[in-house]
Amino acid sequence: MRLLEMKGIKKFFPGVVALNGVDFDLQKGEVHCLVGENGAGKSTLVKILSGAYPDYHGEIFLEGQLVRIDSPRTSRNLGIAAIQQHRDLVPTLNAVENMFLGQEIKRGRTIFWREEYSRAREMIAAFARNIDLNIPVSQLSVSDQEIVAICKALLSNCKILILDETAAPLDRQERLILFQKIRELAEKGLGIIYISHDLEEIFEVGDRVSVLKDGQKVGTREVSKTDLREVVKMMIGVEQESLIARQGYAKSAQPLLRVKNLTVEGKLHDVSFDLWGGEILGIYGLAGSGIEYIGYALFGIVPTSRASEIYLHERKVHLSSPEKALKMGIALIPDDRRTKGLISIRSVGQNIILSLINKQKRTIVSTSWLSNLSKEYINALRIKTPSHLQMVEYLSGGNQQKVLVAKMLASNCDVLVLIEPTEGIDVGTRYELYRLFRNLAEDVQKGIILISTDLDQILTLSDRVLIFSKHRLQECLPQQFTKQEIFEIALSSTQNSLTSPAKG
Amino acid sequence: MKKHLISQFILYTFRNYSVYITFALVLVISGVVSRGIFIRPTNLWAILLRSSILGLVSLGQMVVIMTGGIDLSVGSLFSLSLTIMALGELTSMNPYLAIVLALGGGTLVGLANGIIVVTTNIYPFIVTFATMMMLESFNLTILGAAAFNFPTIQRALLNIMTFLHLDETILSVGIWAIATAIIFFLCRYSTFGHNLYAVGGNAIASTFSGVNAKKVKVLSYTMSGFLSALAAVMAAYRLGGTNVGAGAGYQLNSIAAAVVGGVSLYGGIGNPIGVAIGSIVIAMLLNIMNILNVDPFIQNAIQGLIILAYVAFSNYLQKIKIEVLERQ
Amino acid sequence: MITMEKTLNVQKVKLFLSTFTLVPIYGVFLLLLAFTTPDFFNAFNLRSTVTFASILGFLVIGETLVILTRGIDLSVGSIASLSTVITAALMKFYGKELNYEVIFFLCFALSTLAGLGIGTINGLFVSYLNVPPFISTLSGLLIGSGFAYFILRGVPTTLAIASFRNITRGRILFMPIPFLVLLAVSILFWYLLTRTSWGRYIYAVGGNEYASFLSGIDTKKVVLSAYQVSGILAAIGGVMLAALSNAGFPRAAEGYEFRAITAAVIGGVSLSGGEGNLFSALLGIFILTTLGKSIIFWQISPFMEGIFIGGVLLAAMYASVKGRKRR
Repeated sequence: MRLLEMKGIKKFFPGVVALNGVDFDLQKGEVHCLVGENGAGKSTLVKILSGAYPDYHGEIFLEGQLVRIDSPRTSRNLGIAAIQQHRDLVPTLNAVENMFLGQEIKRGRTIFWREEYSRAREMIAAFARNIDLNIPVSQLSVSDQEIVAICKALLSNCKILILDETAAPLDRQERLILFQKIRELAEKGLGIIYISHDLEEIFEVGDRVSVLKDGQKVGTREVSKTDLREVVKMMIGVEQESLIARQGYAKSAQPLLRVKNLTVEGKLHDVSFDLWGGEILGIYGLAGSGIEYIGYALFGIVPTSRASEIYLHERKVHLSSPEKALKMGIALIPDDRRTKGLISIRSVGQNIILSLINKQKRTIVSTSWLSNLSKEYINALRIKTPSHLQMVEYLSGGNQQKVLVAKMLASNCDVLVLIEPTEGIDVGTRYELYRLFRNLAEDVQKGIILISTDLDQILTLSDRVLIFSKHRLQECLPQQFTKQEIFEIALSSTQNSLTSPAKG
Repeated sequence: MKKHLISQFILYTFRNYSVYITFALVLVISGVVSRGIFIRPTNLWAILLRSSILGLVSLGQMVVIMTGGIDLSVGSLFSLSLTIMALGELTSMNPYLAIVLALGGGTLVGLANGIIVVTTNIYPFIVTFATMMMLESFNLTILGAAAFNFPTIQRALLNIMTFLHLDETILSVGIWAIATAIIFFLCRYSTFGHNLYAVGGNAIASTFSGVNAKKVKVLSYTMSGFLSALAAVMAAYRLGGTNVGAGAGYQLNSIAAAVVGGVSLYGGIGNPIGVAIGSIVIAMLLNIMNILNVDPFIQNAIQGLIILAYVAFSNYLQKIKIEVLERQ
Repeated sequence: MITMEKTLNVQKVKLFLSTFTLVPIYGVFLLLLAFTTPDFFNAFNLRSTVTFASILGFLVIGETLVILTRGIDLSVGSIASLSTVITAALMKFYGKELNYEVIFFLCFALSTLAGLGIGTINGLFVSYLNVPPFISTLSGLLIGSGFAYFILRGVPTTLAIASFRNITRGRILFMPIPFLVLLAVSILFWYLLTRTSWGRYIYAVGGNEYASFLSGIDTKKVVLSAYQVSGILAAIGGVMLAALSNAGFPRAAEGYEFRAITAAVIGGVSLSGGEGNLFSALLGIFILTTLGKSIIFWQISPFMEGIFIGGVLLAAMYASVKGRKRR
């Protein structure tokens, strides 16, 4: 009997279909890995299991019984323990309190501190780490926090353990210990779902692997019967041949933008590159590598070190704020349109003009001017909206993204920085935007920097590709490499900086 | 699809138009309950004056709330301006100068509020709470338990009114109308207005769009300070003097007027016309409660309940809207 | 085994450490007083300061609990005022008919019920209707004042039973009774906060409500309980306040929520929730009350107390925001 069976799981968010009929199953004593690119739906699937998304469609069977997971408590009672990310810890509590949150060890009504401390010590010791159990976890390093979160799940006497991107902050040594623990638990009969971006891990710890793409399951394989190539192929998918990288392009005589030694404390280290007019420069990195900070730095959102130098049209500029960046002619589409991109309670038109009016320091914003300008962009980008007066929150994800793009275009800037510009939108709109970006790059006056973790996108659009890893820009590649190879380079660049010899 | 349009429609209507319904309701019910006393012309005139004073304060409050903050010091700013005028009287200062100083004082404190909020990142309600307490204390120290009159200032104001050929209420209402019109214009047709709504709607996204959120916030608190001071000047003629209790309750009244007028306490939603009508509604409410001899404490409690009801109800509508959006 | 003992002792030391930073500050302040106005240190003044601070202490415990959940309670002052009115009213109307013990019991019981009622309303609006705590408890404040006025029509009423004052006048071993009661109650709550699940959940919900929710905690119930307890404690403080001032009137505790919040902030309780300890907050109210009393001794108008408290609040808040940023 299968430990877990999920049938036809669908989950919707306003404007986005996160999961579109996914089946998944888990056996007792198995480590089943779940992989896919950003936005493929892995976390969503797992959040449904942990009770964070109670309104899903489809059926879930636990040991043959149909269950409805409507809250985290229900999920725990059913024996499911999930570690999503270290941020699901309470930052002000210490490690012990966090580990036992919701599962305190008690003597009658009183919490049995001593016992909790000793059990916690035991678990931490198994990871060969010395973590201060008395300070708030917010003061621990990210990898320490991750270990605390892992221990919390391990302590919960669960039947199903879910690990979502847990190993990322750990070093080689700790990963090996984690994998060992996972195998031990599997031997005890637990079912384990393991999500990771690091494909090599799948082959170290997994029994089976399932690949998700765009909210659907591509396939499931036994780990022993497949290899990295096949998995990557399933993840990345067959190219949509409708758009291939352009062969040659007109470049401007001088570089539009020169970046030298760009350093953001803790995130970027000595990043240098040039952007020419008329080109699309792709910057690729794995999720969590911090590539978005290049965009933030160029837009004046984060402070840069003194050594950083940015030259626009051969003139040195100081981009101390977004206002300044806009005036200099740099525009940004940030990642996460919901929190950073759009003002959801404002209308389409109001969002579109926001950057422009601040750049121009316009005194009067007349209704007719707003209406005409926004209609121009609504038509040009084919934004599906009843009118420019419609509040942005009612638009579908793809159309919201188009509004963001319109805002950027309306500000008339020469350097366009795009961070994950097509995340979480449907394929049709995605290609519309690709074509748009291509067209924009035909203008030799403009240059586009595409910062993305979506390899498809990078290769389809970029004229040049830079690979970013471990806070640094590592390689500069011409178009000739295949997806597979680039992916592996980005991957292995990460692995090479680990302390112990890489496996395989 | 239909359900979502309906919920969108309801929320939009509620926010923008409920104030007119409330206005009509309060008018009618007050008229009936007071057996006609309420709708006597002299009474209505008094309500108008009160609305204009409250209206100015509420306008300032609205601007601050729209940036996602709140100004609890408006009542004390009102008192402060009156105190400055009283001091001017005491020191035989030129009354016109005293009036200007009163306006300036309020504006400066408002500016201080804004700067503190923006530079220290302390919650606005704590900052304005502290400012309020400090100003109250200051007023108390200067005025003590006594009442102060400022006849010279009164005469100066009378001169201004005769010069303009305007009666007190009309002048007050006129200034209020002008202020509302200016703010309305700013909100809808100026970059500042768009930035104001943007910062209130999503401060982070507004920064990513190039809005200088700090400047917007500082300006909003300064405006609130100025408008509260202006309201005090308008009220000065009728009041003729001040004592330690003056200005008490304006923070509550202005928040109530804003909320009734469709302003969301989370920021980013609201319009000056609604707040203007909301101020009239609250002024009417206060008036009818006085006619019915409802005690001030109870009056406050009722305003509190109104604010609570509005906030709870709009939260409820929000929840429905989100549920509908998700179910698509 | 030895390592474990060490970790537990570290916990206890930590508790004293944060209180510890306040103790020297208080010490220095007292020294300053000793030099500038030695008259301050007469027995009567010390006793009255301690008594008043202890009564406020009840409000501070409740306020601290609420702030720990990332909320705020603006109604504690008006609940206390309401309790003074309830006390005065009970005595006025039933003082002759019922004997002392019954009245005594009823004063506390009815006030506590009132406090619980308002606290429940506060909590329900905050956790189940998602109304910001500031608005919910502001309404609580207004409702409380409304009732306080209503019961005795706003007339300040002296307590009909004069002997009631003995609650605040009595001493055991030179310690005023309110102080001893506060000590007992604070130890109880210290125990609840540090040794029970409920206490841990209060900290957890304030620190990260979503994470607590994911851990299976009923966060709404926890938040509601914080407001309820705050209401109850404010009521108890109010009854004692009536005894202290020998009267009940609706503005008796006006502005006390301001003091309670300031005391908590001085004590290092973070307004964003999840951090802070009870004893430092209580130390905070003692410091604040001493400051308030010393103003008179320094020949400064008592009316200026508000300026001092406001200044202290802003300074303490700034310090805490700065401290947080450094992490």
